[in-house]
Amino acid sequence: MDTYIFDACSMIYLTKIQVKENLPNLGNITISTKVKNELIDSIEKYPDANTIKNNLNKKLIQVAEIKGISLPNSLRLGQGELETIEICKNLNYILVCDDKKAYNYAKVRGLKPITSEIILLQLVQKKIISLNEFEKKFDDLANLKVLKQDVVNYFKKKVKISSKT
Amino acid sequence: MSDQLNIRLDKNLIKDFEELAKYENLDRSALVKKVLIEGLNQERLNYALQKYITQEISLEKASEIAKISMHELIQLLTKLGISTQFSLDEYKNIVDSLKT
Repeated sequence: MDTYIFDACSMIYLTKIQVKENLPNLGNITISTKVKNELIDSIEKYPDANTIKNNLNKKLIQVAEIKGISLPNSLRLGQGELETIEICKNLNYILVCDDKKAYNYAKVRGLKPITSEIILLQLVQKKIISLNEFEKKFDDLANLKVLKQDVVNYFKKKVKISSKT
Repeated sequence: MSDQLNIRLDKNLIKDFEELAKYENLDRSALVKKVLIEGLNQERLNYALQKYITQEISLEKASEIAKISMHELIQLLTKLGISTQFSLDEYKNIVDSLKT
């Protein structure tokens, strides 16, 4: 079974569109310690933070620890992003990263990150969610991420093609 | 623990502070501190957002600079209509790379 490691923003987006509970059907779901702290920050103010904490308690999300970061330090990335990329590199996990800067940093280091849109696509392709559910959740994600219409059209077309094959 | 900061201000600005302090029933120092803190927080946020929009820093780095949670920053970006930064071509490349 594949192991996916998420940065903070992708986990927040997927929690907000209520897909987080479907993720364990894709594979093992992991976050780094720093990302965990970010996700449960402001727990009294954000219900999503509470949802994530509950899932951590139920062990639906695992926490991966590292002793130090050997990757070149970047003043342009957050510590959680660096930790996540380091763990992914060391343990050959699938990186889910919705930030372009962190995404490019990971790519330059030989990783093949994916985004939350791809996660939604995979959930449909593996019949974990239906096409109708995909449409609704993708619209929610598009609103959250302020996705451009051409991107929305592309993914909706893509999912229809892949659901026919 | 506090330290002292001495700055020179325009007389009219000092007068404005004193006037507002009277309205808010605060002493002048308390008002200046309040405005400084609020101003500093806003400046941090503005700086972080500007650097994020110009793709100089990541989302998480922006949250660290602005000293707000990721939840709050994501909510703010949505509210301000600030799009995530991948283009259509970049998404297509990601999807295509999964096939290899």
